[in-house]
Amino acid sequence: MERKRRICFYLATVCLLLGSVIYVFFRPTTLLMFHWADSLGLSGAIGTMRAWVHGVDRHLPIWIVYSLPFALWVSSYLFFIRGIWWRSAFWARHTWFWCIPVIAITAELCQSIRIVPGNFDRVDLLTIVLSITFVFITIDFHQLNKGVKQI
Amino acid sequence: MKETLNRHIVSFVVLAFFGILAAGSIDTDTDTKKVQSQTPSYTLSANQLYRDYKANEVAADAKYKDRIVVVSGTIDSIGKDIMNQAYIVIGGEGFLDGVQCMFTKGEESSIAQLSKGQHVTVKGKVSGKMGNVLLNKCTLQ
Repeated sequence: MERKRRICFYLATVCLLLGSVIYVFFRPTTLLMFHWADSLGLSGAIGTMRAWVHGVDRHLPIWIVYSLPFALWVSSYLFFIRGIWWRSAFWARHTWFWCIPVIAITAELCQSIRIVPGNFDRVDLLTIVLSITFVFITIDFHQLNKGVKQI
Repeated sequence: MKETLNRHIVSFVVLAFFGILAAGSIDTDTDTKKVQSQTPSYTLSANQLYRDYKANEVAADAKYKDRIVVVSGTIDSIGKDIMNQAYIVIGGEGFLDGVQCMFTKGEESSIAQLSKGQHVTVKGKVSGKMGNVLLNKCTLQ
């Protein structure tokens, strides 16, 4: 596998894990994922892990706890898709690539006009945009256009 | 052609996986987050809030009810009410003369770390006086 393609998958994994760690360690347990974990009997283990870092969140900027993790997941998804469609010129790669960013940004904007439930937060929107930008600048996006001919 | 099909399948699996993650990140308690993000109308001691209510409940309701406040004081008791909701009572020296801060399930892990006599600062929404002065949707500061 090409080095840059491998880097895509590494970065995807790092972003996924980092975002997940912030969610599990620092977000309130009223998130749906904690209800699922509770159903799977994992709440004890999660409670123990959260106890290790108890109080740390009070020293973290609020955007790191509430905005960054979802943005990291967006980055992770984009890195995965870029890795999967590496050196493919097939048009559908754009659909796969853009579907999550478009949904995320649209949902955030729709919150501002109260079409979608939730609180609109400019910082959430900004971090999502920055996460997309991060993916573009990390590995040259035009690499995707090189390689195999249109299928 | 087969490689492209495989890429579609893997992309779909990745999309579904992240869709599940996104669904899991939905907060079932948006009210507490909303209270937490709001600027408090008043910052005062728990004893001062109780004294204001004791002096004139009508005037205190007009001033504080449904407002976001930040109160601080010493923990007098920690427990769960009949609805199994975690609470702490801060301030006060006797019976029902403090501020009772109610917490949602998401805050329980933080409450579990507290102990009586500890000084805390709590942000919440004032609901009025029922014995103690009640604060709902509380978060520790």
